[in-house]
Amino acid sequence: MNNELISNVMSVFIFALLYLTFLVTPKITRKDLIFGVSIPLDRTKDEEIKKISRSYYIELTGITLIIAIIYFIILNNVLNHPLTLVLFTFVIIGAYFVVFLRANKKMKTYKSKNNFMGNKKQVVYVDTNMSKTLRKDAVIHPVWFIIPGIIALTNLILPLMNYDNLPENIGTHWNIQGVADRFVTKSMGSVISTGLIPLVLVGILAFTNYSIAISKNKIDASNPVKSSQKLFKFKKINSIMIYCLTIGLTLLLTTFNLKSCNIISFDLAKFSPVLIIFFLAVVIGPIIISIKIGQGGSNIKDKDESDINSDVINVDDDEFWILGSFYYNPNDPSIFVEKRFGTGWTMNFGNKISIIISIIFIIFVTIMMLMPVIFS
Amino acid sequence: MLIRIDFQSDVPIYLQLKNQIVHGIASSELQPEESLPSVRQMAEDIGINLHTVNKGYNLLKDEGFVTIDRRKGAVVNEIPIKPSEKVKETLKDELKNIMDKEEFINECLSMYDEYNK
Repeated sequence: MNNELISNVMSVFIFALLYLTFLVTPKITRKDLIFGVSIPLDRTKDEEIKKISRSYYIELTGITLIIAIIYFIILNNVLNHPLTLVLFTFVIIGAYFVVFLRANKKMKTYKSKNNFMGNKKQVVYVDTNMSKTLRKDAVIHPVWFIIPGIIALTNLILPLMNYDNLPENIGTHWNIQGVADRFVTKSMGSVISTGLIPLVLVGILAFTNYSIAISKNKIDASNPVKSSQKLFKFKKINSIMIYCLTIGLTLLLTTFNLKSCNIISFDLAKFSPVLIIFFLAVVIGPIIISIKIGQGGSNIKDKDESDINSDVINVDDDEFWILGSFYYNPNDPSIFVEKRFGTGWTMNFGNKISIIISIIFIIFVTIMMLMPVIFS
Repeated sequence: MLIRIDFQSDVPIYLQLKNQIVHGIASSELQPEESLPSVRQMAEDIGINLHTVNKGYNLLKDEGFVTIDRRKGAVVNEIPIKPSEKVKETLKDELKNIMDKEEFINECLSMYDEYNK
């Protein structure tokens, strides 16, 4: 395969993935949150809402086609560089956000015209037993992260023990065919910093697992008991996915690291299928699982739907969601909360701790990106 | 137990919280020795200020429904508090000496009627 073909195939794959993700997002969101606006469950099938959904899908498809055409013209005629793809990925995500905002605005207008929250009671349920269980037993115990931690540690210990035998140039970045395409010159600093990266990664993923544990337990008011059981499954499955990712990623990074340090040797060409399978599993697996379970477990099917109470609705907290996407509520001590649109978690930016965590995270990522530059 | 907080009610949230827990204890949905979610957990799940939950928990503590344990947080008390043998003896004596059964029941009935008009 030549490089041009590979970059075209990669681009189609990434564009298709982004498009599909945003296409299914309305389907994996909680049932009473439509384009970031809270709506009583019995009004979610309104004709007007269906119309807004339809135009979301049409706009999404249209904008994807336009940007894709421009991109492939640039890629094949002007500049075939990996950065073009990175830049256009950001362009697409930005465009999708605008499409979401348009739907969000239409929903807000529709909601303000119709007073459908009026005769319903807005309540919050807390299950005193589940409140604790969801913070402890729902996620994998932190102790288990010692295993990937030890694997990651070999990246630091083995190269330092064999320091004299290391090659002069150590690969730090590999392409999809498993060939190193970025190197650092051998030095104490470069060996330690590249060896630390997997360890930092395990740390970040272990923290992600912890953040799932402490995230706000949002229980559906219309069916609190079943909803909290679904939330338990949702947290558990996400925690397991994080753990599998941690193990897979550390094994992969370690293999490549030790290979480029000449500590272990194997035929990289034979490793290619493993790499592609891993890549597909990491990208597609979570999407399929997320569709199946939905945000907060909302897509998990009930055996009987008899015990739904439609007199009560979840509390309308639209005012705390800036642009329907960013949660800002200084009165809420929660740090991690469920995203409004799609699946997963976001942060309460009204909380000082959230701001600190965000800054630390940005510093970490910057350091990790700068390290190869410093030592190359 | 399921605690339900109504955000449009005129009853303040800390009082709703307190009433719900008292109700839970009375109906045995909350068992003695059971520990309640921590102030932080409760505040996060409801989405309200820590002080609000604290206020509710302190009321429960002051009225003897819970004990605040430094490790376990708020723990439900045994209610009613088990009387000691001495208290039982005194009560027996007093009931024997002061009034007979009929008098006692009549007194109770008149009190009930007085407050339940």
